[in-house]
Amino acid sequence: MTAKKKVIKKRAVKAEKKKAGNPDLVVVEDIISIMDKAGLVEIEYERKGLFIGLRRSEGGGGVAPVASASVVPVAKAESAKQERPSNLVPIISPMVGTFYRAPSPEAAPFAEVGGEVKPDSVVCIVEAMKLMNEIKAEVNGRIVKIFLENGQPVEYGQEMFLVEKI
Amino acid sequence: MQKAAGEKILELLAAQAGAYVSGQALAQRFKVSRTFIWKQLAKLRDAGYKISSARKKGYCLLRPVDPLLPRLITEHLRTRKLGRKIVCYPLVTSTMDVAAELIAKGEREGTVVAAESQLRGRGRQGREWSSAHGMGLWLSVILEPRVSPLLASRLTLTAASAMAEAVEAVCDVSPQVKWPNDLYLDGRKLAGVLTEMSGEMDIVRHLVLGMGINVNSKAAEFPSTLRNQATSIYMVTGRHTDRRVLLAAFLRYFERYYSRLKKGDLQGMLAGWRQREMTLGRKVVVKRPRQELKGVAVNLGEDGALIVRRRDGVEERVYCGDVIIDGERQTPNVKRRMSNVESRKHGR
Repeated sequence: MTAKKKVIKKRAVKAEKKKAGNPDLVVVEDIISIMDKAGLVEIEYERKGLFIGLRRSEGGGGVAPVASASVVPVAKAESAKQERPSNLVPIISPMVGTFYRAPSPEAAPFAEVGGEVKPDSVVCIVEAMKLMNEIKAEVNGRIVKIFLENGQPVEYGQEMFLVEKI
Repeated sequence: MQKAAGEKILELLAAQAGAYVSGQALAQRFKVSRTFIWKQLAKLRDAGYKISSARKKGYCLLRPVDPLLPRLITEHLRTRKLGRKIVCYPLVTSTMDVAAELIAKGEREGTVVAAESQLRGRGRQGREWSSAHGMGLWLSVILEPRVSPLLASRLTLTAASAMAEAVEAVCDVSPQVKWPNDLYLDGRKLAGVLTEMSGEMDIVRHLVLGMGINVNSKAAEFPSTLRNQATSIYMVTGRHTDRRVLLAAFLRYFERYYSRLKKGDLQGMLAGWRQREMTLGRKVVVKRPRQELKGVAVNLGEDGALIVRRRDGVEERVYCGDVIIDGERQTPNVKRRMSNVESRKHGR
């Protein structure tokens, strides 16, 4: 692992010299390409107050990525957006946590497929470390798809619902 | 004195520290009729206050001796912002609901909602939280952290840590913390934290921090389902604690950590936390809705995650789920609970 880190460091330094724009982003891009080549599932990289942790979501078994791993899921969401009609908007998770469809196990779900939502309708709760985050629809529309089941882990930037705007 | 009449009478009774005040004295003091006083006292009794009346002596507040009234709490406050406005209720469904309503009406950061009693105090995922009248602190704090939701989830840890310090300072006992939000004393649950917020992608505008701590409760006041899992400061120390002093201390410690957290600084809090964390170094089972994780809790991450080392040596960062210390009872049936009480007795 330390040998790999050294390689990354060298590359990062080179990349930084090339582009003065956003050095951190360049490092992330580099790390991702290294992960691709080596087929790595997880990588951690630390240097002078910068910490980058990346983990592929496949086979992660619900393991949450570290806080700064936002780059990968966001990129995914963007590629999905291209194939989608503009009246369909996803509701995405603002944080790593557990996805709950109802306020308690006995209660009815906040939202169902086919149900209409208003911008301030609560559609689910995402919980992390006992922080209950009520997620609102933020659009007028109808739920067309729910990507997750109650109690499933959710990652930062992951799509939870698909809403057809009305 | 129409609306706040009850509160003013209560304040006066509380100031007598167990002595009687005559109905006539009360009437004169507030320039109202004795009938009016009598009606107000009846309302207070309905709200759960135990007020005794004796012929020729008058009235006396028996329980709680430390009613939560804004003026009496403010006396002890040493904060800049938190708790500078306090709203107190004898009875609410849940202080979390009241706080959410206040936010909808434009309430700003720092306001504290406290109640003597809750009809439906709640824990995570709608679990029951017992809140007997006047025996604990059931409160919600309105916050506007303006940090990313990623940082906000650490608030729960911060609040639990601050309460542990407050209990240590005021009551001279040291609660342990159980990741992520419970306080334990002598192996039983003393307090819990719950944070609720409305989701926004980038920044948390409003957040309600809920805290429940059993202060002066006696064993018999817990519902039988909780009796052997819960404790109070009184049950451990045998001493009565002024809840208003404890509340003020909590707000002071919490405010200090909170202002650091807003700047992203968690170090001080984490150091204190690690000292008190009861799961560290122990075998744990993390119960999650869809899968279980078994291993040893080895550390707390910089981001507040519990780091659990599995048997195969892989370390997982845990953000969600119920942590059960191996060997701890989970949902014991009545028989097992009884036997547990017996073994405790023999053990001491």
